[in-house]
This record gives sequence, structure tokens and C-alpha cells, in this order.
Amino acid sequence: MRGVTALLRRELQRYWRRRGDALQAPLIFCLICLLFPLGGVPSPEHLARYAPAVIWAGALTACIFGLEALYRQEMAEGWVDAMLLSAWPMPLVLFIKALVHWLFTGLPVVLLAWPMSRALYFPAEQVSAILYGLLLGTPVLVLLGGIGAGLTAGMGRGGLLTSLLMLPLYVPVLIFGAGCGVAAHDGLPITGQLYLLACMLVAAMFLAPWASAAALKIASESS
Amino acid sequence: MTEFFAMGGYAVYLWPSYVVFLAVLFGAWGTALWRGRRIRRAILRERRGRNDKR
Amino acid sequence: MWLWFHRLGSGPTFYPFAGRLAWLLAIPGLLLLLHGLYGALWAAPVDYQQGQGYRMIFVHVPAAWLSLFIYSSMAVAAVVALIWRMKVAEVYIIDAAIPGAGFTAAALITGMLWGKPMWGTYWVWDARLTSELILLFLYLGVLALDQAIEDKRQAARACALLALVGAVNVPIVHYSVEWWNTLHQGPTVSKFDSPSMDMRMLVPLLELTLASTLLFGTIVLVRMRATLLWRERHSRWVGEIVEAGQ
Repeated sequence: MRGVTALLRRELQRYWRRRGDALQAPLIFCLICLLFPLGGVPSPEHLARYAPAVIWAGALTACIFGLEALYRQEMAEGWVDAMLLSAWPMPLVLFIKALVHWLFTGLPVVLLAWPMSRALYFPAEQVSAILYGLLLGTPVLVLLGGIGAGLTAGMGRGGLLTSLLMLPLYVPVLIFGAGCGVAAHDGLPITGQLYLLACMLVAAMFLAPWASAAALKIASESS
Repeated sequence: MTEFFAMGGYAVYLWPSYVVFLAVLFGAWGTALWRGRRIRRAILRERRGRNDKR
Repeated sequence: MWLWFHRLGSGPTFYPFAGRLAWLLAIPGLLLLLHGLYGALWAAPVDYQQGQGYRMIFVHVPAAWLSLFIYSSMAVAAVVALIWRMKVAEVYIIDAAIPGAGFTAAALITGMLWGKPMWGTYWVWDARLTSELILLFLYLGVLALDQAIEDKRQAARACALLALVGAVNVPIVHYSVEWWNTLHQGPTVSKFDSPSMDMRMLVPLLELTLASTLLFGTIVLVRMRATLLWRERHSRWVGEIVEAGQ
């Protein structure tokens, strides 16, 4: 248990030291949300209708960009190899890493989604639906993304490939996450979507770290 | 015969779909065979080159 | 049995075996294909609802079936490749993904060609078409990952893991897309809404599905033979085979 807190502290410090880098993903999220009105009709009814889609497109993109930072430096520094050789259970290590990564890249997106939804004229009483969807959905994106980031960790420029591999797998999260916002906008209940997102989160929490560990192991095997 | 090819007015959609399917099927087969021949030739060339050097 | 399984996994045993098996699958495959095409285009009666247009399903269904069958078989091969590190299974994943992507594209195109006269538009955000499109991207992802990694054995293992993760996701993607679709459009016309199909329609459909599966087997075996030759080009058995001109 002491080891877990030590690892958690190390990760938190590492992200805190590079907090400027970690903020890039939330900034991209804001930019994408602001580009949509400029690229279309900025009337309230159009924007409100498409606000969940825009918010989620921004969240997906921001998450994909953020994944670059997940293992790249660790791989270059040899930290991954050291961890694989150590007695640490790799899935647990990667779960902690994903958690901290989400705190620094996912949580800001969830918080910024509130002003962004309002900027897109999404009705104020329903904004919480979007936020709940993001709160349950973005950790799934990070956990799943760990698999893709692990597979491409050994490459020089794997960012584009990671997004190609991961975006199709994000479809269910997008459907139910954005579905929360759409249903709330239409005055429908959102509990069904939230339950399904919670299921996905639990499944991803248990399965994705194992797959990420396997992916990193394959990536570090390079001759 | 013309009636058969007209397919009750669906010819424009029907024949292309058969063409696409068969093209994928035989295209994949053809390229697989062609690739095999190319690889065998490349290996042969490599071996000949090595033997000449010796 | 186990010994046989293991020996088959090695190049020198697999190569001649695959060569024979490829022909063994190709001959009944081609005969079934010809008979199935005759049945599909000529013998099957006209559908009373869709007229002659329904004849597109005779190629659409085999392509769609293959797109799913190939991806699931890749996932099975991925398990074998990751657990037992069997070389033949590693080779299978990529060599099946290339025709797999082709058949998925064929299923999409034939589906769109069916949609134009039936729905009045080439593209409808229908659950089946949409999940087929996502499946195509999953195939392309596997191929892109293979291209990006220099070391081919490492690439095969990475692709195996990706195929496995994708296979877990395919049903989730399918159900989520279906849920989303029913929410927004109401159920679209099912292709098989008639409860009992005429035997003269069903038989060619099954024949063509079986034929294309057999021919896919031939294609993948031919590809795997070539890939194995190239990967082990410095070994003795490859030299003997190539020099003998087999």
C-alpha cells in the first residue's frame, strides 16, 4: 500500500511539474468548441441541438492529443523496462498512471465543458447531463487510450496512428455520452445512458490496464 | 436476353454490386498469387547474389 | 493431436500442407460460386416486394458475413499468437486482414447500391451500414499498425493485441449503434423481414456464402505461404523450395 501512495505521489509530481504541457489538451478542447459556431450558423437553436456532439468531438480530440504524453517519456527514459522487470504488478501501475493522467487532462475538460456548453447555448438546467456524461465517459477514453498509446509507445511519431487505432473503439462511449446531452435537451431521462457509461467505466477499469500492460510489453520487446 | 440484363430496371445498381464483389474476390486471389511469385523471385535473386559473391 | 498442432505451426510443415489445402478449398469453392451465381441471377424467382433488386443480397450477405467471420477468426488467431507465440497464427492475422478489409468495403458498397433504389439514397445512418463502416476502420487500424512497426514479429504481436481488443469492442459497437439508430430513426426495413425465404432464394445465398468463405481460405493460405517464405528466407527449407521452383 505504501508503494501505491509513493507511486501516486511520483505521478502527481511529474504531472504537476509539467502542468503547462498537461493543459494543452483542455485548451484544444476549448478551441474545437469555439470553432464550430464559426464554421456554421451561430443561432441558439442550431448550436444547442449540436452542443453535445461538438462537446464530445472536442473531448475525444483532446483525449487523443493528451495520450501522447502517457508513456512516451517513460519509454524513452527506460522507466517502462525497469517497471516490467520489477516486482510491480504492471496493470496496477498503469491504472494509477491513467488515473493521474485523467486528473490532469480529463477533469479540466469536464470542468471546462460547463462554460463551453453555455457558450453553445445549451440550456442551463440541462448542462449537468453533459457534465455527468463526460465525468463517466472521459476516464473510459483515457483507460482505453492507454492500450493504443502502449502499442505505439516505441515509435518516433505514433500520435496519428494512436488516434486511427482508438477513435473507432471510442464509438460506444461517444454514443452514450453524447446521448445523455441529446436526451436531456429533449427532456428525456438520462439514467439509462449513465448506467451504461458506468458499466463501461467499470469494465474498462478492470480490463484496460491488463491490455495496456500487454501492449507496453510488446512495444518494449523491440530488438 | 436484354430483359435479363435490364433486371427489371435495377441493372444500374445490381450489376455493379456483382462486379464489386467478384472484383474483390478475384482481385485478392490474383494479388495473392502475384505476390507469392514476386517474393519467390526476390528470394531467388537474393540467393543468387550471395552465391556469386562467394 | 497436440504434437500435430505444434508441428503444423512451423514453416517447413505448413508450407506444403497449405499449398495442398489451398487447392482443396479452391475447387469446391469455384464450383459452388458458379452454381450459386447461376441460382442467384437466373433460377431464383423475383421478389414480390423488391422486384429484381433484391438479387443484390446474394453478394451483399456473403461479403458482410465474411467481414465479421474474418475479424472473429483474426481474434482467435490472436489468442493463439499471444499465448503460444505460434508463427503461423501471427502470419494469419495480417494476411487475413487485407482480404478482410476488401470484403468489408465490398459489403459497404453493395449495401449502398442496394440502398439507392430501396431507400432512395446511397447512405442512410442505418445500424448495419454504420457498424460495418466502423469495422472497416478497425481493419484499417490493424493494417496501419502492421505497416508502422519495422520488426515484423513484434508487429504481428501488436496487431494480435489490437485485433483482440477490437473483437471485444465489435459487439459493444454494434449494440450501441443499434440503440442509437432506433432512438433517432425508428427501425429501418430489415432485409430479412419475410419470415420464410423461398428455397430457391435461400440455397444460392448459402451456396455463395460458403463459396466465398472457401475462396477466402484459398486466398489467405496463398498469402500466408508467401509471407512465411519471405520471413524465413534465410533458412534452408526456403532455399530448397525456391530452388526446386515449387
